[in-house]
Amino acid sequence: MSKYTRREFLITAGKAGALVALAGCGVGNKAAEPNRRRSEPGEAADKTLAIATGKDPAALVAAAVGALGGISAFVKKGDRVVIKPNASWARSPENAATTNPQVAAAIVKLCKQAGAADVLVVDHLIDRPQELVLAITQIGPVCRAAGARVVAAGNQAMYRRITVPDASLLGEVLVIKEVLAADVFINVPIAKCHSDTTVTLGLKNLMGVVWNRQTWHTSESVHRCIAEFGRAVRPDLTILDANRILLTDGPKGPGKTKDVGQVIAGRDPAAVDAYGASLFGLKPDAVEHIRLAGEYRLGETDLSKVKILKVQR
Amino acid sequence: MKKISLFIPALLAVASIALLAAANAPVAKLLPEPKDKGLSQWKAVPKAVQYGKGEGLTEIYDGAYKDYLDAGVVDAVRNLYQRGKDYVEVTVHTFKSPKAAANFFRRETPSIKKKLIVKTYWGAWAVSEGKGYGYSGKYYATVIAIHSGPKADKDAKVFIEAFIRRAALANKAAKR
Repeated sequence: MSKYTRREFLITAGKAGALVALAGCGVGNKAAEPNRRRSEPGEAADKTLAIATGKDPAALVAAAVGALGGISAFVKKGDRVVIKPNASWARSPENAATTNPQVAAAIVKLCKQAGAADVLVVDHLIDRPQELVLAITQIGPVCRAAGARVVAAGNQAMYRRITVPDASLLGEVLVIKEVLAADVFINVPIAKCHSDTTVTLGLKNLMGVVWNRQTWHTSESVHRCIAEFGRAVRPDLTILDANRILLTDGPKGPGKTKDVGQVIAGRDPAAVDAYGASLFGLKPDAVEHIRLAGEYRLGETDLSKVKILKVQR
Repeated sequence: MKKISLFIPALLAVASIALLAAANAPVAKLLPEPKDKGLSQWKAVPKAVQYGKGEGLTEIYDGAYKDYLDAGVVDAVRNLYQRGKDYVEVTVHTFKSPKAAANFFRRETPSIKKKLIVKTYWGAWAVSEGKGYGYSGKYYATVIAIHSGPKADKDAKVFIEAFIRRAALANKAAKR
């Protein structure tokens, strides 16, 4: 058996200590920078949802966004836009475990047409290697071809520490810096079932802008973490990809899928999720984090109070 | 109530230790390799291996890890394999007991025809829709052909058989 010398022990302990200290300090984070994504309770003034139905994912994006006043209602010339799809898993688009790349690319094109100076597509992936995952999901090549930068946020230096306001469970969270600094933040989840969170819709998809998100799953309530985080990071627009939804074996699949042929867009993240739950035959309150989102006044979860614009394509 | 930020440094340290553990974990030796029978056209994708133990299974399954923990998974390792534009994902699990592995296998393949291998080694497997499932002793694996089409089932079968041969040998060695 090899012996561990005192010198070797001290070197190893020193490295481990430095690692922990660096992690605790949040290397590269500038605490002074403002969090532009923070929302106040009850801020969601516009409770309108646009629901586009048809077969062409890109056309549905244009139709849904058009019903909300067009992309120029959100993106101004020179804006820096960040788009957050779900690209977590090494699964091809037909599995419905990741956002349809045509949906993400259509949003990129709309933003570019509106004069955005920069469009970043970013996600914190789970599967490895990251570039290959972006290729298998097709989100990498398709969104790059549409004019976006596409980045897998796999380095802690890309994150900044923020404090979640009025949180009982979340303390400080490391969030992708470019999300916090963006002029416009567009959340683009795919609708799918999830063995831990019941469903993945908009609020859940925001876990992908967090560095230490796995601690949420091992915490006493992942639902509460998701809802509390909604106070800290609020998208300007949520576009839910429900072209094809995953009904079983979520979040990664493969499992049973259903072709719904819808894209849902809205400013109110809670309202989008409330509608998204209905695609799975669930009432909003049946999904704990959506119920909490209503309780925390992140938006409207009572669909009878939401104005719904239906568009057929 | 403990706030989550308190756990960040500790979890990062645990994650680093887990990465080191992956290379030495016995379960990692059960991952198929291109030198295995029928896999010569495949190569392992560099930097694709992921390993998780206990709550560290989140590294592989994210929020779905609880399902596996509750079913008796001790640790798991995943790798990705490539043949041109085709990809296959293999995840090998160590269960707390052979019975737990067998139960999980049955749970995952309720309506799929199962095959037993009893000649030179023991194992059971099933393949359907590009997904392969197999176990031998306390080891259980899933194979997912990320590509589709008729060759997906064939590819899943070759990988699951490679896993079973490795697991059976490991079981035999453990009995000596």
